[in-house]
Amino acid sequence: MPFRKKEDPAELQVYVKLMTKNQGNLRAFIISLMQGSPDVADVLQETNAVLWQKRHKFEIGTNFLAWAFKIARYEVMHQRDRTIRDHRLVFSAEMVEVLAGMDPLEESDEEVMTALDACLAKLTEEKRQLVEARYTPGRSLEQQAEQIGSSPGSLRVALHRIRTGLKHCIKLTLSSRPA
Amino acid sequence: MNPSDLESKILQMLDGELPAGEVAALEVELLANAGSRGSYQELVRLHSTLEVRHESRATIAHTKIVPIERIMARQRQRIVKVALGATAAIVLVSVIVLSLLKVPDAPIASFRTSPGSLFTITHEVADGEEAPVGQELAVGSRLRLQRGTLEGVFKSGVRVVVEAPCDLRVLAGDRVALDEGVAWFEVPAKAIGFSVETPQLTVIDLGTAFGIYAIAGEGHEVHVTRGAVEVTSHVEVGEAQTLQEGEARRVDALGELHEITFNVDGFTVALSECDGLVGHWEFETHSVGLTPDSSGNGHSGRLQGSAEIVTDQERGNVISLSGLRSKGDAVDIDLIREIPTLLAHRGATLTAWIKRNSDDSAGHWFGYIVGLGASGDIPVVSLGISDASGFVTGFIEGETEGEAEDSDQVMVVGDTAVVDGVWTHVAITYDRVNNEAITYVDGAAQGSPTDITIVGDGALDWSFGKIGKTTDLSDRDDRFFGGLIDDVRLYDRPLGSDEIHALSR
Repeated sequence: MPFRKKEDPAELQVYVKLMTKNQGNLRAFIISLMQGSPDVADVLQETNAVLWQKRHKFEIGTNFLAWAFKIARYEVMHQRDRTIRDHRLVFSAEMVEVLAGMDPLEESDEEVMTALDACLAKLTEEKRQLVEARYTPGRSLEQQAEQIGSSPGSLRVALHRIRTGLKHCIKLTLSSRPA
Repeated sequence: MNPSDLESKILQMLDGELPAGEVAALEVELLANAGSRGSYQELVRLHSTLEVRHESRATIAHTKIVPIERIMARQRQRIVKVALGATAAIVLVSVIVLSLLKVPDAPIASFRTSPGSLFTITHEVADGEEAPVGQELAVGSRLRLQRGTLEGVFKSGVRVVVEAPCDLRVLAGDRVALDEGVAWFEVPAKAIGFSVETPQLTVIDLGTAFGIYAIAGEGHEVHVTRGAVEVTSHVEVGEAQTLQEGEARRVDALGELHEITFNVDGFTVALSECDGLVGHWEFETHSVGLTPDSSGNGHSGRLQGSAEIVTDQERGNVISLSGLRSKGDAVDIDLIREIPTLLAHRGATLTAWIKRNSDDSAGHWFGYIVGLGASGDIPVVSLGISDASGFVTGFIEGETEGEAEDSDQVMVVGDTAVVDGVWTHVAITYDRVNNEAITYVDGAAQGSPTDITIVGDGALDWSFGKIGKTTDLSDRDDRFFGGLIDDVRLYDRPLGSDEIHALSR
């Protein structure tokens, strides 16, 4: 018997699809455990590397997200130890465990992205610009504030309101989608 | 905390703008209230989706898109190339097999190889003449060594030891062409006049022992370890010199010979007879970025990044590694593909002397001293040091009782912290017969052996190794070793505690 089982191309294809399809969920899960730390991208990359290395251990048909979250949680805890040594702020271990134990949101990445697009389309141009300024790499709220003659502080407050509204809009859109 | 305050604080935290004291208060709220956690989860999803949406748009705006059809076409081309390569190998083997069916003519040299060596021989024979059989060479034979080390003996008594990769042709009983490779020649008095031709040099023996570096793209070198040789360059203007014992020359682009530091340690002068010693890297020297394998098995190490050989007051020449990913310091060990067969039966031992930088622990999780495995995959056998505890720790591919079910690495951890800035002998032995592994510090076994349940009974996937970092994709700062390493040894069997103790003296 070989040390590693021979890879079935069809199973491999399914595994790759699962990895691709769940990147958003995985990313959000890691962010939730790390308070949006700048190390999220590193941990996601590390998690993906481990998921790929351990692909032969996954049984197609079982819960991929549970499997991926387990590995991600392990990588987050490693990163957490390093962050503590750097005297940076982290959630307590208890908090991480509680958050990691939550059931994942059931909607797929694609469904959430579609809902987000629909909700963004409902915003005024000015509000969309504000969201763009916050999330587009290379742009900032400060630049946006200067451009429209406002203060960064007031834009932050406005951005919080917009995002809260987007959250409710997405929830509503997802809950009203056809079964 | 009211819902509006909660959402505001969560968003501030995700933006990195929430003060530490308020983060603690938010954590208390999240721990206490499942509804707050639900809200947190939804806002994190929104935040992440917005980031992904805008990052991907920015990427698409600046990326040249390659149609999937083109990628598929490239992959098909690659598959065809691999298939053609395999076919070529079969043809070559067929030629060799056919040559073996013929009755041999008088060979002028025979050879043996280190375990795991890979080579091909072709013979040019005139009509009516027969090719040699087996590991023998005749005039017109061409020997290409892809892996390992080879020792050949000519009828004249000339002895040659070559390391892979090497391309050697026999031109006559007293003349060979070294088209590429690192070779060492020992010529007895009765064979004076034996000559070696490289694309850049001709070396004529005057009763001696000498080594030649003939690496493509580099200036070829001659190092005389005994007696004298006459060296003539073929390049451009050309130049001839007679070299004595302890002298060395390198040819430059104009064909002039330049004096360089004599260095006999860069050559393998005999096949190893040591029991189970597969690789031994002493870092005494290197040439063109290669540091030799003293075991004689030809597993030279290639220095990467800013890794360099430095002189230490206690241990002489050692390898120095920064421990920083940005520098990429490591020593790559290639050409050990045949080891798995041996490993599958007996096990392995890794030993090394280390002196970790006192500041290496900053930001590090685990410094790999040696990792052995497939390129891009987690090591199957590794030896390192845990930053948090300072304990010597190894990872063995396999499973054990009590490990997480998704783990395929068994951690073998010691119980004595290594002191930074002090030379320490460290080792791990993996007994695959009795399914256990244990680490050593300065010759002392660390605790009780760790049980390992092997998955399957096939060969371990072990194609190359790295000194100073891991073999897998975790190319992060915290997986590099920062400090000095010396005398790294790899055995294809578990050494006994007495043997480890002897190595630590």
